[in-house]
Amino acid sequence: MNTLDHLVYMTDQIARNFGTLDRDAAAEATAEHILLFWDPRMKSRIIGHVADGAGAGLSEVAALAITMVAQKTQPSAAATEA
Amino acid sequence: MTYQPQKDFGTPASKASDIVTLSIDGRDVSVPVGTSVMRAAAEIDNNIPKLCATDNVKSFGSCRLCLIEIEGRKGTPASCTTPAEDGMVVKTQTPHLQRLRKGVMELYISDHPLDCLTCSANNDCELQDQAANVGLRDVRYGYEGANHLGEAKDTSNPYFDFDPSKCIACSRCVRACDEVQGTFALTMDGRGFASKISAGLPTDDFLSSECVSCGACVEACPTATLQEKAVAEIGKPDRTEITTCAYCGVGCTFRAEMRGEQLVRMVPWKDGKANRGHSCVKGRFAWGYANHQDRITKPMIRESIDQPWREVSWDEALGYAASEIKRIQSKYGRPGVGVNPLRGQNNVQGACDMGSFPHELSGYRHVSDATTRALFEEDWGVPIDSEPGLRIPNMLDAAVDGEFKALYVQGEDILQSDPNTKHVSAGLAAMECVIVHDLFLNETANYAHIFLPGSTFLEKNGTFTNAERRIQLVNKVMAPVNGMEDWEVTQALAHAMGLDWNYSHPSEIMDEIARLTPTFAGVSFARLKEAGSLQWPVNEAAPDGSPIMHVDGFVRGKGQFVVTDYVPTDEKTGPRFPLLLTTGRILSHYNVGAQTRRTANSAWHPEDLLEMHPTDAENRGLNDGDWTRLSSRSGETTLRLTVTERVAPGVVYTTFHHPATQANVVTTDFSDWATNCPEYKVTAVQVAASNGPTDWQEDYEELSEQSRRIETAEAAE
Repeated sequence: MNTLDHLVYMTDQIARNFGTLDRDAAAEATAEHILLFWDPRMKSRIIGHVADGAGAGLSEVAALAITMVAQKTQPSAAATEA
Repeated sequence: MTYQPQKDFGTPASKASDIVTLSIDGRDVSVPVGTSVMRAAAEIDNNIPKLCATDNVKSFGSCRLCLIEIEGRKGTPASCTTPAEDGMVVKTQTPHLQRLRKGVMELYISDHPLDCLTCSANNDCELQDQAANVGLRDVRYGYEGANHLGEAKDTSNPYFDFDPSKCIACSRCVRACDEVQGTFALTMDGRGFASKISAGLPTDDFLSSECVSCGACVEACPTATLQEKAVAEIGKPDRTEITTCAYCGVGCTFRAEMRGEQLVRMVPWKDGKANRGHSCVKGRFAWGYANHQDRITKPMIRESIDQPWREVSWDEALGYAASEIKRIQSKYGRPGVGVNPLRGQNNVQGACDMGSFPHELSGYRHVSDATTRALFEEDWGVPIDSEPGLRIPNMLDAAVDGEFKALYVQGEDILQSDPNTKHVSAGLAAMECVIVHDLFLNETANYAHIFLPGSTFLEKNGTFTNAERRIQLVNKVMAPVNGMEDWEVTQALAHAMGLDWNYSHPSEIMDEIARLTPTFAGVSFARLKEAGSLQWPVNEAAPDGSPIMHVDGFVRGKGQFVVTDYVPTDEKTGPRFPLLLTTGRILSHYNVGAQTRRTANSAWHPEDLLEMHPTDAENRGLNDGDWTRLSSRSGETTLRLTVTERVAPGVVYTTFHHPATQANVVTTDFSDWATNCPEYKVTAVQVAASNGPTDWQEDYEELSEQSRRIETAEAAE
């Protein structure tokens, strides 16, 4: 798996873990985990993946979570992408 | 401290709270109900002669040496099996008792070699001590009769010998094996004069028996019958130092028993709160790696990994490391840094407590917490990033992408221990600067540019925190052969980077931890020394530590239960890979085996073996001992097969202790979603007969040989 595939895979798994919650709550919980535990480069990469296209490979909840991450990520953090 | 054996109270302590008071030789002593008269006497340093009693095991009453007289009672009961009672009046030394004891000793000595001066237990032998204590001067029976003096030694165990000619059949070893270790490997074979300690079946020796070599029997033996080979070779230790074992998270404490700077033996410390006088084969015996010929004691550098290593001074190595770090920082910036703890190690708890995570500061405080960041920023005078860093698997992904450039690995061998070896090696090969700080040229060092020699746990001061949050001191017992303790290496590197760090002892680092971490507020080296150990949180609310956390509630109040969905593995068996591989560890080796493979522990496990159920073996036409090829979607390796019912049909098992096998070539990089913890227990594999090592194994061995070349410094230097 390359890095992007790995990030998509991990996001889907996190969302799946919160499968017992409703859509919005699951997306929020997924977003919170990513915000707290992913480094800025990983975050901006997955945000870019969703922004560029439809976020291929991501489940509905996972894709929604990434849009939430994008909203909450300060531009300065995203800008550290080399 | 000069050499003193640990005090032996003869029988275990009673946990009762009610107290009884009795008189022993005219002195009153108060002890908990259930205490033996022997122990009560020992509490006031009245050491009643004994041979079969020791305080790690229950009393047995067989040697008849610890006899006493009790006012108002007939006979001479054994003090080890007689409970102390209120108002009891005991005499431990009378002419009658003296005669009885002398008679007993005379019989023991009539069947015991009189080679005290050349005996390995000379001056550290309870039989010798008791012969002196009872005033034995003569053996009237002579030595011509039937005896056990010609019995052959069993030297099969690599760490201790069993010499039945010196055995007094007290059963202490048998009882230690049963009660302390719980293995039941030893037994008393035969009766009366034919009584003999036996390990396993009559055809077994110690090595082939069920014995796990924990050493509890050796510690229990009152004579030279079961004794460390090291004592026989070196002699009796003359000083001791308490320290903490460097292997697993149990955190056993030991008495390092020394002669000068030479370690003679490691004896589990009875006052150790994690292990209470017991340990396993690794901590007890497997410390010889500290002086192994493979140990690297000089710093080394090279520009690229196809070059041989070049030995250099500390100054040159640290200067080179600092300039490389600065070069890479100025070229690429600092995105994507991260600190990760050594997983599965003895101090993993301590490393995690110290914020050795990509997203935390000490005391489990998230980097996004501005108040905590401000605390450190003020103390350290540097800004702290509010964003998490990378975990090891993410670092390696980023390295393969060309976005992660440098790694400093201390005391861990990720190439051997982490899953999907080819991915790890590709990640390492893509980095511009890999610094390995270790005792040996490990597998990761094959991809390193700078090697900083490390110090063993015997050579440094500090603390380890075990899995029950118990902070324990590690005390230096010998000078570091590499010249510096590991924390001094870190400080020297900081100096080379232009930082003005001035710690003179690890206790000052602990003071800083206490200052900046609320859960450690009450911890200091002085407090640890005084208390023996402390379980954090140690603060105003819990000055003596916290054996149990969350007693009345959690920080948030009531505990919150969360329903989570089951996220099953995506690793699936199928026609090509029908078996499931589980990898793990065995008792005698520790993780990648860098330490234990360099000790006699290899006697138990010289190579990684693939365990397979007889049905699976039969289906594949494989027999016990065959060379087999183990393959998965990630890679393949070869190793020998053990056919055993220990594993279920459909499952195969192996260990990852040996670099020649490289079990992790086979494992995948699937990991759990929350922590990226690798999935070592589920890999779909196939096993087939093999007639030689795989291409990877051959290539890797050649790479290792090339990579470990060391150009020694010119003789003129």
